[in-house]
Order: sequence, then structure tokens, then C-alpha cells
Amino acid sequence: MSNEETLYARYLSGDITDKELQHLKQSGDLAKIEALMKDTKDWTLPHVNSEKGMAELEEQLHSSSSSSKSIYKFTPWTIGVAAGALLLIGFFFFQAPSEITISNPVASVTDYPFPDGSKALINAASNLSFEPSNWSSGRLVKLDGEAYFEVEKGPTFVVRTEHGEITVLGTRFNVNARENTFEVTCFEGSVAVISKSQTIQLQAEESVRLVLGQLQQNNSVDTTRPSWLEGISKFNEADLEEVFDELRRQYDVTLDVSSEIKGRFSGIFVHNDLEKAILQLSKPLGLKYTMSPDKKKVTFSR
Amino acid sequence: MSSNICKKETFNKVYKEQVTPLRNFLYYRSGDLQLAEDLAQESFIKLWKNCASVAKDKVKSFLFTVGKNLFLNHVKHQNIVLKFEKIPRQDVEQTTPETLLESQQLQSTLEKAVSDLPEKQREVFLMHRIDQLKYREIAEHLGISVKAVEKRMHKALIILKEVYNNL
Repeated sequence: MSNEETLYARYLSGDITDKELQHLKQSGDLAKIEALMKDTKDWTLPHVNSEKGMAELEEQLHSSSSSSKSIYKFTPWTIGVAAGALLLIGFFFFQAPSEITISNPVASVTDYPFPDGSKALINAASNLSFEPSNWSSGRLVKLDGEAYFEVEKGPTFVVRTEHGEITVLGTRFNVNARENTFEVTCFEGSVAVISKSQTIQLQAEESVRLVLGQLQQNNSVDTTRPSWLEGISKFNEADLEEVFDELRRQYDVTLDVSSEIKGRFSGIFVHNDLEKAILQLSKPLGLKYTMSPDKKKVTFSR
Repeated sequence: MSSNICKKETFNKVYKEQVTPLRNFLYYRSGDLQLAEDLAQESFIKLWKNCASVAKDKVKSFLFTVGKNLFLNHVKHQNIVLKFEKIPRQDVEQTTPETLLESQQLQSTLEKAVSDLPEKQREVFLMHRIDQLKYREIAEHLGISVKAVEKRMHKALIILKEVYNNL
């Protein structure tokens, strides 16, 4: 499907043959394109203050009828908050929402306080929901992804995931419930983990993992908080697929992993430097890699 | 799971995700930041009013199409001049007045070259460069094929690389 008319575009996305690359280099065009990319690398536009925008939108929608031809003049949005976590609160059009959903985009950590002072720190590409109206009688949270909880003493706090449930009273723990992973680590207090009709009680510095349908306990937790909160992903005999998935989530990058790459990984990678993270994986595993010029695609091979 | 976006939480999520790319896209077209903001707001109002009839996977192209049409209704086509802020770099080598002037001139030249690009090429180039969208995502927003996006990007690069002919 390769084509002259899309050559430069495909160079940037790493979708180019070696022969085409050679021609590009020889013609001198590659150097010019690279210079262009370098000189436009820092281009930005003023930030959009979406909180303010949403508030103004709500006002407009509530105010009396207006003709669809008129343009609404809004006060200029000031350069707003630095880019960071997204937070969705469903107070938009109604007084008391029945359910609040917090959705975390790729590659960031969101901090969310519950009505009673309990907290959740939510990892990349995760969703969490709960009902605030019920909070004082029973605390139920639904989680798809990974989050670290600090729960104040109070009525039973339950985290429900697709693989199982975690019940606590007042404690600190981490839940990792991705598609092919279920791992719960207790840092303080005690939690009860129920999964596939097995129940395990965890004390501080204990963790449990679902492996082939069985809950397996691990008692060598050596930190006071999960490492992803400190900007590092740490793995202990984790399946490589899980490791690459986490890399995708933290950097929002496309990964091409050759099918012969299988096995387990023990080690870490950082969240703030893609090239460093790639080296932290490729060196111990003995993998080769190439990265597209726009840094959005990485290919791993043996 | 609702299949449309009339649910406030879903609408809010769409707003947060799309307001910046939409505002930027309208800026790339108009060269007027305030106008781009106003048109973006109006597009979302239209989206809310039509929420029941816009399928979730058509939301992005709906917003961009509505925004584009609002812009066309609003102003005549004119030559636009786009300006982009640069995050200041800590390049130690670049502190002499000569190099500073050079880099300012290069910035102006590039901004003009980008502003003079035909609309279709200009917006693809900027959506890739500034909004960091992949070709697949740009295709979704504009309602065209990935190959069409690549062609426009290629044409934009042909023109823009000429800036470096004598450097």
C-alpha cells in the first residue's frame, strides 16, 4: 500500500520501508524534515480552561431561548491550570447526581477525595464510580483498572471489580484489576479479598494475586505505598504482556511486539522518560527496539 | 450503557476531551482565538441539543463539522496569520543577540509558511504537530480516510521543508 504521495507522512509515523528511508536520506529531504520538526516542537496554543467553559455552557443552556444564528460572546478564558489529571463531576445539570464516575485518561494519576475523607489515587486508563448519596450508610466503589486507597474508619468499604471484591474497615491498600490481572496489596490495616469463591484475609505488607483462577498470597511487600504513585512501575515475575500494556498506558504509545517475545519480567520502568523506560525493559530482557521519529510507535524484537 | 450522549457525565467527558482540539481546529481555520472559543462553545450547545440523534462514535466528526459550518457562516475567507507560543528552551548556546534574532526570524518564517498552507494541509499538519493526534485520530475528526490524511500531511511537508532550502 506504500505510495509516493504519502511518503513524508509515513516517515514521521515510522511506517516506511528501508529502501524509502535510504532515498529520503540521500535526497537531503530527511535533514530538512527533521529540522522542521525540531523547530516546531515547542509550538503551543493558550490553554483551555474547560471548567470555566463548562460552567458558561451550563449558564447558556439554562438561559432563555436564543436564535441559533447568534454567536455567544464569552469572557476570554484565562490561561488556566497546568495540564494534569482530568476529573469528572456529574453536578452539571442536576442538583444531586445519583452516581459519580471518575475517569482517568492515559498517562496520569488522579487524586480523588470521597465524602468522608477517604481517598483514592487512580492510575492511568482506569475508571472508578460510586454513589455519594449512599456513602454514609455503606461505602461501595466500582473499579476498572488500578487505584490505591486510603480508607478512613467507618462503615464497610467495598471495592468491586470484574475479578472479585475487596472489603475493608479502615486501611491503606492497592487494587490492580485490569483485563488479565487481579492483584491486591495491603499496606496498613487489614482487607478481605473475595474472588472466584475464595476468600483471603490480608494484613499489612501482604498481597494476593490471581494466577490461573487461584488466589496466591505473597508476603514480601517492601514499600509503604505502591511504586506507581512515585512514578515507577514495578514488576515481580509479571507476565510480559502485562508489562507492555502498562507501558502503553503510561505513555499512550503504540507498541509492536514480535510474537516470539514471551515470558516474565522482574524489574521497573519510569513514567517520565520514554527512552529510559524502554531501556529499562529491553536491556534485562535482551530485546532490540526501534522508535518512530514522532516517538508514538516502538517496535520490539529479539 | 447508553448509546447516546444525553447523559450528563458522558457529555461532560466528551466536552473535556474535545474542547481543546476543537478550539484549536477552529483557530487553525480562522486565525482568531476568541472567535474559535465562541464557535467551539456554540458547537457544544448544538451537540447537547441534538444529543439523542448523534451516535457516540460520530460525536467527534459531528463537532468538527458543526464547527466548520458555523465558521463558514460567520466570516468570509481571508488570509490568516497564525501565531504559536514557544515554550522557552534552556539552550545555553543560544543566548547571543544574533542567535536570538535568528530564531525569532525563523519562527516568523515558519508561522507564515504554515498560515499560507492550503486549509486542508494546514489543519492536518497542526493537528499532528500541536494536538499530538495520530493520523487515525485526525481521520476520525475530519471524517476522511487515513490515507487522505497522510496525503495532506505529505503535501504540507513538501511545502514547509522549502523553508530550509538555503539554511
